[in-house]
Amino acid sequence: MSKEARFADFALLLRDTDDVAVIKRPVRAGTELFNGSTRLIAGRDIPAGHKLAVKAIPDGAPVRKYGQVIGFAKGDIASGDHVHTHNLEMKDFARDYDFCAAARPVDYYPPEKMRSFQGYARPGGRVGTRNYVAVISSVNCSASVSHYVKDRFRIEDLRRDFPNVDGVVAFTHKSGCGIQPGEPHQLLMRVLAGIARHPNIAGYVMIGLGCEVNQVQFIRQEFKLDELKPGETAPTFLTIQSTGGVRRTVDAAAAAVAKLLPVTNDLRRASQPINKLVLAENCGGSDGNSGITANPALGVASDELVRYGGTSVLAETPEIYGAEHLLTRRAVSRGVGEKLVSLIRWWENHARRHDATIDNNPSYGNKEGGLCQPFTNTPNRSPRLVSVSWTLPVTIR
Amino acid sequence: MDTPGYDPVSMTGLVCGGCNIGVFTTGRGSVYGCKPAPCIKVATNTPLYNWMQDDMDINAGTILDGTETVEQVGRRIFEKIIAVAGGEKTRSELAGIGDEEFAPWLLGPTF
Repeated sequence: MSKEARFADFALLLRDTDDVAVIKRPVRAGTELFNGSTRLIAGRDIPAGHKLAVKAIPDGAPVRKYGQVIGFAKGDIASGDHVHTHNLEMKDFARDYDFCAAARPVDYYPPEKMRSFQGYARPGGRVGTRNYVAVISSVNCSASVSHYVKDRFRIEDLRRDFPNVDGVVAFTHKSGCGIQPGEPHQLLMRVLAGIARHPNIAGYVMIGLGCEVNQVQFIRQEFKLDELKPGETAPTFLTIQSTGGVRRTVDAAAAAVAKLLPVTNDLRRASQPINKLVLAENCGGSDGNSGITANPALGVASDELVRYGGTSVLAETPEIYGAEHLLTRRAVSRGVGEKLVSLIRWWENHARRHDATIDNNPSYGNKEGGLCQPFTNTPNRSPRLVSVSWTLPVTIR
Repeated sequence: MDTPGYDPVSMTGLVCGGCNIGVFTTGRGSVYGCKPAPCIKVATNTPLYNWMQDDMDINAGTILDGTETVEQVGRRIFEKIIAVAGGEKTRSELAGIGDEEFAPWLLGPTF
């Protein structure tokens, strides 16, 4: 005898036209799911977050979820079958970019409705949500020195002596030399200068070795780090070779941090409009629920922030792959839409150059959670990040 | 922003690009934190939220459970963003995560 259960208790059909439903609670093989007059018998045990065919799908036919094509049937799929990597495959199909078609104007809240948060006003109009002091390494060769400097300032002591300082952080990395002077180097410099200039960093020390490709001097000049706005704390720049080795550099950098701490501690939070918030959105360690719960909800929050004049940033281009047409429709201009498509082409080339495939990104855990290997980067996975609830116009800066 | 999908690299890029707060959704249970910006983590399902509650700031699994709508959870995330921006600590901040998670995108060959 098969067990009977209500379809709605175990599965969720995201759109009436979808071919697959998302399993909310694990379903045992043979369970009969009834939904009004419709009955489905689960072909095998299906874990939560995975997909169940709600209708028969012939070999080669497109499979829809979120109202989007997420792949094509590999062999005939029967109603009630588990749909996963074994019977779903990726194929190229034409997507209509339909540039700007759905870019509706933002319905901003009027100024008198502006909400506020307690933030740190920084010179130049930026606003911090935290108040840190940074030790930044230009190269891996100065990473340990940066950590030694940070280790001189224990968080317990900071909390006691400088309660308004959130901490001293060592920003270290594995590169900085043996790299091309072109884009790879530019990218690293941009990231390090981005930390130096970050509104959550009240002051910093930058440390290099001295002979590396990624010269502290270059970053200083290229990003004009010496041009201070009124009220900005002067940074300290050191190299281990010119300071005379590890011990002397740690002492010199620690002395510079010690000077920054009381100044940083004197800063206070004050009322700031929420249009100063710049939101980073990320979806990671995903499962089959990401696209139907947390991401659409984040979309609601993101839209709300934008309606107050804030900024919301979506990234992870390879995970947009295959769903880019959902963003190009919301592009503020044709140029922005075409730029997004060109980024997608860049990623295809990048993958090809390294003998990789762009549709093979999901991790072991992603797949176990119900995301599909052959398709995952394409709509099967991407709409979870892209389509569901963000509704406002898209631009690229 | 054009970044890889690898979370530490994408978040590092976003933060260095000027983001001063983050929201990170996860279904498997990421414990990511991203100094110097606070990072709010949203669980996609209730079993994960209950299992790793020390690491999760918000449960969006209520949408699947049928006790909240997408709109309601979205409102909760929005209010959490404002509270955290104003100094409320996230779970990853309380755990001290975020020093080792700084990961610039290393593009091109190493010579």
